[in-house]
Amino acid sequence: MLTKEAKNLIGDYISLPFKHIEGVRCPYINNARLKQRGQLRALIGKGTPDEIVEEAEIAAKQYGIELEKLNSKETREFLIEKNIGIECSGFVIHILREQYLKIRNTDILKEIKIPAKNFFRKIINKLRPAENINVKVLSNDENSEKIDDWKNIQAGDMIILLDTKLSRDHIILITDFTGDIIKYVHARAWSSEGKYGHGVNTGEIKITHPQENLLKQEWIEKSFAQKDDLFHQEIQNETFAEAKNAKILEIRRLKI
Amino acid sequence: MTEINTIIETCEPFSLELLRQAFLFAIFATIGAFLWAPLLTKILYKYKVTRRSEFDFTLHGERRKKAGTPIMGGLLIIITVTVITLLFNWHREYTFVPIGAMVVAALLGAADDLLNIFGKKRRIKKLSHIFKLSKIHKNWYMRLWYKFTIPWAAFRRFVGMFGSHPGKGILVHEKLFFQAIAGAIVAWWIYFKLGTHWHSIWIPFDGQIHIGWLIIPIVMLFVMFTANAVNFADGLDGLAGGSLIASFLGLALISWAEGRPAFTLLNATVVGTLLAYTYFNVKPARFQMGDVGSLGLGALLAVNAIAINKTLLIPILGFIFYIEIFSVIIQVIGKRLFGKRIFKMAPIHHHFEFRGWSEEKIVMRFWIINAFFVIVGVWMALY
Repeated sequence: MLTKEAKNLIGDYISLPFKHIEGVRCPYINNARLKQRGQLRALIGKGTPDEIVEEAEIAAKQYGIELEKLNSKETREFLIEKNIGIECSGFVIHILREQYLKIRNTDILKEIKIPAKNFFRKIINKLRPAENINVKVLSNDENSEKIDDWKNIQAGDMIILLDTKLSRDHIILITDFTGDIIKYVHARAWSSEGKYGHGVNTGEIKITHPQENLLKQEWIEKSFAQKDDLFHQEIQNETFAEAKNAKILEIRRLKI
Repeated sequence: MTEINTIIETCEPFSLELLRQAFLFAIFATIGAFLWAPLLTKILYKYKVTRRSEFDFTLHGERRKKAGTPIMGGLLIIITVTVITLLFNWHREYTFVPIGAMVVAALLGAADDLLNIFGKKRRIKKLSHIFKLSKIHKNWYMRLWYKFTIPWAAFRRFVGMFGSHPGKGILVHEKLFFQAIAGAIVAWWIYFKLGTHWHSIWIPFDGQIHIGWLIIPIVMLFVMFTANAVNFADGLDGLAGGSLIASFLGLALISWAEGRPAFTLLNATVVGTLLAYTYFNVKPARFQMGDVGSLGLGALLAVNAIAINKTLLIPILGFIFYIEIFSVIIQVIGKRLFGKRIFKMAPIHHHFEFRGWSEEKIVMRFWIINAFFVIVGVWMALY
C-alpha cells in the first residue's frame, strides 16, 4: 500500500499546489525531445510539484502573465507553452522516493545505481540523480527485480514498457491492487489528446481473465482528447496500445 | 591648470587645497553633464538607440514599460569624464591608464549595445554540430578549421551558461575575450611602464607585499570581474548609477586621504557626472546606462582602486556589484549542477522583484547597503 505521503504527492501532481487554483493537472514533458541539458529539473520533466509551481510562477512573472487570472485549463496551457511538466520516470521516481523515505527511511535517489560511462558522468549522476534515472535504469536488474506473476503485484511496483512502437520506454506506477482491479498512475502523452490534453493520469486494469497475462485484461483509462478533433472516432487507449507494442513488458519492484 | 599641476606635485595627505579642487571638479562635472544630457537624449532618440520590445526578450510584464527608453545613456559619463580629464587632469603616469581602460571597455559595451539594436540575428553552431563537422565536412581544410576551433566553441558553451543572449550583439565569450585583452593591456602597462611601486599589493591591516608579475593576472581578473559585475547590476532604474556614486566617492576619499591628487580629481569628476546621470536615470528613467556605461565604469572602478593600491578593497567598495555577480554565479551553479534555483531569479535584484519588492525599494536599499560597505572600505583603507 502506498503511504499517505506518496499518495499526497500523486495528488499534488494531479492537482498542482498552486495557491490560487485547484485542479491543474501536471502536463507531460518529453525531455528527450526538448534536448535540454543541465537545465532546471522542472524544465526537463524531473521536477517535484513544488518546483513545477515555482517555475510556473517565475515564468508568469517574466512573461507578464497574471496566473491568478487564469483558470485551470489556461494554466495548464501556459505550463505546456513554457515546457514545464513531468515525464514518466521523473514522476515515478519522486513518488517512490516519498514511499521509501517513509517505509524504509531510505532515499532511493542515493541508492539507485546509475551506469556511468566515465568519471565525469559518475559525478553528474551523483549530483543530479533524479535527472539521470530513466526507465532503463529503473528496469536494470541491479535496481529492481522482475515480478513473474502479476498476481503478486503490490502498490509501489512498476510496469515497465521497453521499446514501444514509438521507440521509447515508458513506466507506470501501481498504486493499488484489490484482487480484481489494478490501479495505476503515470505521466503520459496520448497522440489523440493533441497539444494540451496530456499529463499525469490514473487508470486501472480490470482483471477479466485471471488465468491470462496482463495484456489479456481490460485496460481502462480516461482520455482528455477533444471529441471534435477526432471526428467522433472511437478513442483508443494508447497506454494499452503501447503495452501491446512494447518489446518488453515487465512488472518490477525496486530492490531497496 | 598650472595650479592643479602644482597640487599634484606637492600634495600632502588630507590636503585642504586638494579637497577644494576635488569639489570644484565634481561641481564642474555635474554641471557639464547636466548641460549636455538633453542633447544626448535627443541624439539617442533621433537615431532610435532605444530599448525595443521586439529585440529585447527581457521586456515582459512590468518591464514592458521600459520599452522605448534610450540606452547608451552611459555615454554621458564616459564622454564627460574623458573630456574633463583630458583637459584638466591628464597625467601619463596617473590618469592615462584608467581613462584608457574605461574607454576600451566602453567601446566594447557600445559595440554590444549597437549590435543588440541594429545587428542581425547571429546563427550559432552548437558544439555537437562543430564536432560533427570536424569529422564529416567535405573540405579537409574546413575539417581542420573546425577541429582547431573546438576549444573556442567549448569555451563559448561554458561561459554562455552565465549570460542570457537575445541572439544579437556580442556573445559572452567574445565579451570576455575582449575584456581579457583590455585587462592585459592595463596589466602590461602597469607592470612594465609605471615603475616598481606598482608591483606590490596592499593587504588590509597588514601593509604591502611584493607580488611581482602576479599583479598582471590579478589586475586582469579584477578589471574583468568588476566590469561584468557593474554590468549585471545595471538592471533597475538608478541601481548601478546610484551605487557607483558611493563607490567612486569612497575611492575619492581614500585617494584624498593618501595624498593622490590625480586620482582624487578623477574620482571626484566621476562622482559629479554620476550625480547628473542618476538624476536622469531614476525611475522612470530618461535613459539607461547600457553596456557602454556599465562596462566602462566597472573597468574604471577596478583600475582606480588598483591605481591607488587598494585592489583588495574592490569587492567592498563595489559590494553590491559583487553581490550581483556572485548571485548569478551561484544561480548558474545551482541550476547546472543541482537542477535547482538558489534564488528565484538572478541577478539578485530580480529575486527581490519577484518577492514583491518595488523597484524603488530594491534600488534604495541596495544604495544604502553599498554606501555602508563603502564606509567600511574607507575605514579599512585608513589603516
